Amino acid sequence: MVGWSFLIILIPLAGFAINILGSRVIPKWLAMLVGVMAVIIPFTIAGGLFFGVGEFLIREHWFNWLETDSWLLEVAYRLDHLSMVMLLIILGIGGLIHIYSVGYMRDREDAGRFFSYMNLFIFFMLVLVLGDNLLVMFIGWEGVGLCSYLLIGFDYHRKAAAIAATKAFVTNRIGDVGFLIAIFILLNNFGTLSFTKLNQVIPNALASGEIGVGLVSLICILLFFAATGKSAQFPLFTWLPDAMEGPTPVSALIHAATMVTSGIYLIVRLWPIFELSELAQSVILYTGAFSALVSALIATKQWDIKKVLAYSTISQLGYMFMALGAGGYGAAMFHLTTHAFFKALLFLVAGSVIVQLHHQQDLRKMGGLKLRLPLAGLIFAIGAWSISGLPFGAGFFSKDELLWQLYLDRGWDVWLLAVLIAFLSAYYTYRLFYLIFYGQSAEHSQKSYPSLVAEPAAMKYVLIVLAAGTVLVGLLGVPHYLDIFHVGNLINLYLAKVVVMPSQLGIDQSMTEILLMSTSLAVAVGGFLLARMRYRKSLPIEKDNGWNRLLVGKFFVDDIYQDYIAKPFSNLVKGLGIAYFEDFFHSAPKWGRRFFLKIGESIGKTGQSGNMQDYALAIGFSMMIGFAIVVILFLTSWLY
Amino acid sequence: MDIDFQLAIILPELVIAGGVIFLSVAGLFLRPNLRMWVIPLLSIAFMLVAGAVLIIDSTSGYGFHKLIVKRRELDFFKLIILLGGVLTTLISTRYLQRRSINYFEFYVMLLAAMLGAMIAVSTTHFLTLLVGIEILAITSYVMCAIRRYDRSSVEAAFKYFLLGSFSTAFILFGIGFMYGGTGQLHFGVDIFPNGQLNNSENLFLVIGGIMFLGGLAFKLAAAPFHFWAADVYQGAPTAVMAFLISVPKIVFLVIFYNFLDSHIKFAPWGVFVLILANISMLVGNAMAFLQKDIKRLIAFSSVAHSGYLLLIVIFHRSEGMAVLGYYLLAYLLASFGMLAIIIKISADKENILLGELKGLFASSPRSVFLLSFFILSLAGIPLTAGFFGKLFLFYEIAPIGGFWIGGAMIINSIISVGYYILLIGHLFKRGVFEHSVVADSKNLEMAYWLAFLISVGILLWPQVVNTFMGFA
Amino acid sequence: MEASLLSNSLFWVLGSVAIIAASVAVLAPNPMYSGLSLMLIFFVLAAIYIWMKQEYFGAMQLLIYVGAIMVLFIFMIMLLNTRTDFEEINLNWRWGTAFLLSIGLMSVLIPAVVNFKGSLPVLGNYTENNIELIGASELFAEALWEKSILIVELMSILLLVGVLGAVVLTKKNYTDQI
Repeated sequence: MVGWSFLIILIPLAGFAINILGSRVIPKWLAMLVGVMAVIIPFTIAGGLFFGVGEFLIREHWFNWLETDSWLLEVAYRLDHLSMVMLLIILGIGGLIHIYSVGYMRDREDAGRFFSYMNLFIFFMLVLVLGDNLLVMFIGWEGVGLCSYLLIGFDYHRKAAAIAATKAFVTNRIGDVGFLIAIFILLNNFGTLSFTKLNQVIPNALASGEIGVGLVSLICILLFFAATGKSAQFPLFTWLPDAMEGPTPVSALIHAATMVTSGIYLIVRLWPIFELSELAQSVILYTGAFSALVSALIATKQWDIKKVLAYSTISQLGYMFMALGAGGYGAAMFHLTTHAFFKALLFLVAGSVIVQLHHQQDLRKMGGLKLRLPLAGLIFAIGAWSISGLPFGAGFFSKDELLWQLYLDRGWDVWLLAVLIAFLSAYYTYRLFYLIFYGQSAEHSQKSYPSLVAEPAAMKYVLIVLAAGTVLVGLLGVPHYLDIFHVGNLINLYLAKVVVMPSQLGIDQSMTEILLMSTSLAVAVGGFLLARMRYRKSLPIEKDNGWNRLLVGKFFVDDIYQDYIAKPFSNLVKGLGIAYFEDFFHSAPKWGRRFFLKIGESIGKTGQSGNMQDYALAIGFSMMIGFAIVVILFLTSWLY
Repeated sequence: MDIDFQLAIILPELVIAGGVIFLSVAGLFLRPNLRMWVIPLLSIAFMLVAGAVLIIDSTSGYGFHKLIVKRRELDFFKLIILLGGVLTTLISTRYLQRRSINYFEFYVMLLAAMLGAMIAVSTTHFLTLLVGIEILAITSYVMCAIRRYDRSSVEAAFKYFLLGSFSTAFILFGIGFMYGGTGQLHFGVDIFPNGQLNNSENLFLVIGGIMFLGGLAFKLAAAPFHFWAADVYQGAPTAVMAFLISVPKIVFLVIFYNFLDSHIKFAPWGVFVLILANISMLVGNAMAFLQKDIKRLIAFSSVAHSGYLLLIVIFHRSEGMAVLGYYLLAYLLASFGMLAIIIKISADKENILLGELKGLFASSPRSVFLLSFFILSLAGIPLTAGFFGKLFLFYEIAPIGGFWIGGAMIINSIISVGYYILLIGHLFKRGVFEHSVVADSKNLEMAYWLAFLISVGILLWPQVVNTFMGFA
Repeated sequence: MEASLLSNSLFWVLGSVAIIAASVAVLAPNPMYSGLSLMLIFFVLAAIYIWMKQEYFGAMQLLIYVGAIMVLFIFMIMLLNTRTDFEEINLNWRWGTAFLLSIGLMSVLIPAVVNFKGSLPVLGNYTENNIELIGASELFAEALWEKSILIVELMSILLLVGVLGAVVLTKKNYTDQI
């Protein structure tokens, strides 16, 4: 099984190749089958590896890509406990979403293209999580960015989709600059990009005083800057809500469950380096907290069903970054796992609602669908229960651990901030729930939507399976005061082989934990009840005060970027360009070219005559250069 | 004299030599319509067999009283020479057929040229070297003149022949002087005991070496010995030009390397080659700006490439051969790919002017894509094989040659980008492309796709040369 | 080699004849004269070989160059019959530059000769003693057919492609015949 592990990477690539090369030949059903199997087969292999190998680290060196005296870049992949968790999430949820897409895309003519892009995305995502060094990871990192671009703009004839795709791409490039500079710094200072070596070399170098903590902070902050691009954190988060222009399966897979978590993965992968810099940790913590708070606030006022979920994703990712800043790598990974399940579930059920309502995304035009869409309602309820952290949902376990980690590391103030965000997330989720399924009478809904589009079977079954998964995934990390069967916190135990875990809690702290948990629980229930009170019966009238305008306008971040960064910059470039640069760059090549033309012409006139005797003479004269050298060197040697 | 070992040393050459003799006879017994595809096919088969032998058999050592040597580094060069031969055969078939030139001897000549090139690469003995060079040269003259009813082709071949003989005379004269000065016909590193000839007061040796290097520089088309190059390449059939700008370049650079790598490396020789390198870079790039004809432009750009490569002949460390090999492989692939596409788009005309490229993008976008790829590779733009070639070259020469040498190379590469970009600009100009495009030649397509795929392959795995040569 | 006055003066005489003949070969307006004086140079070279006690090479020089190659050369000149073309060449600027080049070559060759130190190493069996004992042709044959067999074989390939090339480039209507 171990020897076949490279197939995990190659099969999605093969799926992509088959579908893109045969796009005109392969019938739609076959393209879909290939697309789905290209994810399911690697998933079974990964499952086999998960159960078949106990204490494992697979490291396969393929070849040295570039090698100089001072550095070595190799192409290799590693499969350890951390990448295994990511692998199972990507392939498991990815597989389910592929099956869902079979239903979602059944009427589209270009389903083959869609599946080929999806397979390519899976391939690059696997490259990202399985790469053994930052370079391979960067290839995956850029690749998923490309696929994200292709899939957001899948309906490229829609102008909004094309613009959103470009925005996502460009914003991610800004973050990538940080990644690249970090790579250059690391290569220049340490000559390696391998995770294993970096994780050893940098702490050692810092301990022995070879490098200062400032350099480490710089590297960490640059890498985190890259992560803010990919994981949609402040200041680069504005692309994610716009990315909802893509098809819903894409939003579920790329912009909720997998790609946006790669920033988290990057930091967990390099945790020993991030541990070293207090400054970087604080930056991560407060950036995460700020993003989480701002996006949760914005989410409470959005009217597009997918945008609410998008802001919720930013908020949850901010949560994970908070945990990373507090050193809770296990907690962040656990929340990443549960979030992948419940957010994918929410997106897919939202997609199902959207499809059945003839592609309606506006919440104000929904409502009263409780009886007409009972399955969707039930499943949405499961997802909402999980994300809000209500008892025994998946989010309850992961959020609780995360909050506990924050409390241990940073104390009351940060914990309170996180609890406030938890309140907001319960509020906006249930606002969404009540706006879709309650709010208005069934008759009203009947009037606006006389008929519903039938839901394809594939979508329905995927929703049921994923809902079951969401219910169960929380059990991976049961806190010890609820651990009746003494199985322990499975995910922490599993990851402990790669990532440092906080020491086990003593009995005396257990009471504190229960107290904190009860508080956060009460707050979450409060959010739930507030949403229920406001939105259950009817649409409340929004007051037009400054605060609401601020929230509806999304804190005007986009406008600030447009007016205070993009415009002044382009004006600056224009202003300078007209004065100096444009002139210079226009005329310098001209002068250079003229200069070379002059040289060429003079040689061409005298030498390049086409006459053979002249050529022979030129050869003779050139030989004289050599003789002249000999004579000169000999004369000088005689002088001594 | 262990005959098995001796034969193992020259096995690849034996295969090719057998091929030359076999095909030159076999062609006579085949019907004309049959032999024009059987002979090239067999010729490729011989080259592939020889290539397979080279890859599999890693025997190394001297053979035949040290007249010939087999080393893993040199094997690589022989391998890319054979690659050049295969590509030349692929792009020639349709070219010759369209111009109704049905001499099967062309392929025999090509195969013999392979033999000469391989011999010249794998020897450190002046006489063997001379015979190898001459086999390569005579076959080149004949291939150049293969369109013998075409005035410009014959003129080119005649110029090449006379000036080539002139330069061979210099080579021979130089060898004579060096023999007179030392009594030695060997120039290998292993053969000369250290320091035996490290006597720079031996003027015969020094002058002989200068003459020898000058003659080689002529064959390499390094300025100021380059004047023939543009005229000959312009007049030669395009398929032959692809051969002429790549295979002899490999051969003579390796000879330069072998010769200057031995202990008889004197200061005057190094200075001479350094001056040649700098003049080549400057003159090649300057003249390329002036050209209106694509083939002449490529000719002068090849002069500039000779300049870059001569730098590594002087400034290199123990693994310089690998860098040379990588650069030459990238250069060979880019040249062949480029000229294969030029053959494709010039079905009815031998020489295309830059202005006549307008509208090509509309009529044949795939050609334009590939042509741009190969041009960018020659220019050394990142994410092409040529970029890695230049990068490795710079890493190799800069630490030894110092700031000015590395800087000269960088500045010249930047200048060269100017005319490469101009060329690409012409490809995308709007208008109507007036020449017909070869649409149905599988061999031609195979040639440029092969060049493209190998280019991408060595881009993804740049260490392949090091690995093959056993350095990694 | 005993340096008697007679043998030394013989060398100088032969050398002067060679130089004069070479000048005539280059400068003569009539190609026939050039060819004949080239033949004279080969004769003189053969004489110098014999003067150096290399009778075998002297004989070879006469047989191959004078007997075979030069005769062919002169036949070709007579067949082409392009005497008139050559007479038009006048002493234009190329002669001057070519003259400068030869001066340059001289200026490095003369110091090389003057400056030459030490004796040439004689390699292998080809020593004066062995020539007396075994014979020049035997020694030469040993060197050629044993030590340098590879070069001889390669020369045969070279001749083969030369012949093939000549056939390809000169035979008329090649394709119609077969």
